[in-house]
Amino acid sequence: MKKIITDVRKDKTIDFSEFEDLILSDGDENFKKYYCLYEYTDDLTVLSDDTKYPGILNFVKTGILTKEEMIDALFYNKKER
Amino acid sequence: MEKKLYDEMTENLAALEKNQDLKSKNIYLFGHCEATLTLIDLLLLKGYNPVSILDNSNLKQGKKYKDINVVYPAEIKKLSIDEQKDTVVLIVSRFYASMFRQLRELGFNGRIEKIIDYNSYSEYSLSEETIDKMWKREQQGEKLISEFEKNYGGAFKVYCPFNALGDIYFMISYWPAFAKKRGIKDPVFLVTGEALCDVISMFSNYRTAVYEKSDLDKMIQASLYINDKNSFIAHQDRPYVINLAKALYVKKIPLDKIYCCGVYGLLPDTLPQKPYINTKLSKKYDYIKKGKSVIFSPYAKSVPKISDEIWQSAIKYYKDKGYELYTNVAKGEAPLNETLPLSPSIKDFPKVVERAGAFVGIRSGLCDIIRETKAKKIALYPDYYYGDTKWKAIDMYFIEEFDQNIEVSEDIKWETL
Repeated sequence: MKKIITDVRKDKTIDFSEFEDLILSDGDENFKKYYCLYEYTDDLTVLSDDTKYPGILNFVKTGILTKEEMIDALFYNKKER
Repeated sequence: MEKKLYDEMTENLAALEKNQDLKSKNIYLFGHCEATLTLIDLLLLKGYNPVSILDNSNLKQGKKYKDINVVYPAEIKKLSIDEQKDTVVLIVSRFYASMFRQLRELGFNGRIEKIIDYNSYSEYSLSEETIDKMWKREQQGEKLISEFEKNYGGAFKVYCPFNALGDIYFMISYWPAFAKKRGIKDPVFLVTGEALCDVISMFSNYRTAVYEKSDLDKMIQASLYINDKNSFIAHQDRPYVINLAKALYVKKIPLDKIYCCGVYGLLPDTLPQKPYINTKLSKKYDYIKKGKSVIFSPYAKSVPKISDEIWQSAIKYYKDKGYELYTNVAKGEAPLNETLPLSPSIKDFPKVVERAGAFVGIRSGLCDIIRETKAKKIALYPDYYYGDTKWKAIDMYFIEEFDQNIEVSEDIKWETL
């Protein structure tokens, strides 16, 4: 089931309205407790815009990727690895 | 492979041999990468015969390394329950956690062993034991941060978690533009080795601090956990919160643009700072025949080797042209046949290459150090894919400033270059 955990809907410069059905803004309890402690699962797709580290959103902001390409990249078949 | 990691690999393999009867086991490897190939070499040396290399990538299917085939992980489902008991899967990839889970989901119940701990950030478990271990790790990280802040006051921490000259080169070359954008005035770059400090010093007299990788990883995790806004992780791939590399599944983005646009959010036309090259070269290099020497650089971590035949053909060509021949070597590395060893420091290397007049090297971070050097420069790219993407190494690491960028697949006609 495709879901993104993100807080970037607060970013008014980018319109994510067409991806509303994908976006879960609050995350689950485990995410809130543990995501910053360690990577406890690779089932999560997380989109963030944090000043402490880079993120794929930078590619959209700088014109390297479109939003659609970013979403495709985030949900690329993980089993291909 | 870095010596530290190779030592970890040999120690862990020795421990495994002691605790298990490996000789009676069918050995599989998971993840076709340079580290796996190095492990295979070690296993063959010890008299083991690995069965297959498991890999999810379509691009790698059918490849062979020393007669060992790359196959899909699903192949392991063909093993009976009894056969699984006699099977062990060895993993040296940083994707250990997801590989472990995939094997279990495929129904494989045999032993799965991590031979190198590449990725201390990930463990796919919410067991009490795992959570407790990770809490302790985070606490250790906070302690290290506290010690750093005692020594460096309110300096801005720039974490550089990976021991790679090229990554550091790009990181520092775009740093001034990023620091200006963010108003950062007093950075300290936290790195995992002195050579990386040398690369940084080629750009300015920035402050640096060297940490063991495991300690740096702990500090980075703690920074995330305590939301330390006086810090930045300046890497394109580590740790797990950074998802830049996923962009490569849909688009080819060369490494310098990954740093410029991805890591720093700078526009694509942002110009990187160029390094300051020492104007004076020590007299100890006067023996190098100026303009008529060639420096070979055949060694690189995490990159498949280029065959001896290629190097020997290059040596013959330059020797016939009357060049003096040198091989750049680090501790423990041997010079190529008919060449003399040379081990200049990172800071001296550009000027040494300039004095020599020619450089032929496997594409590695060392090539980035000499991008601006005035000499004939040739980069040789082994034929391999960048990570698990469909892009070749030459796509990702192409150097505009070099005279030649050659993907090595067959003989090179040196006289035509």
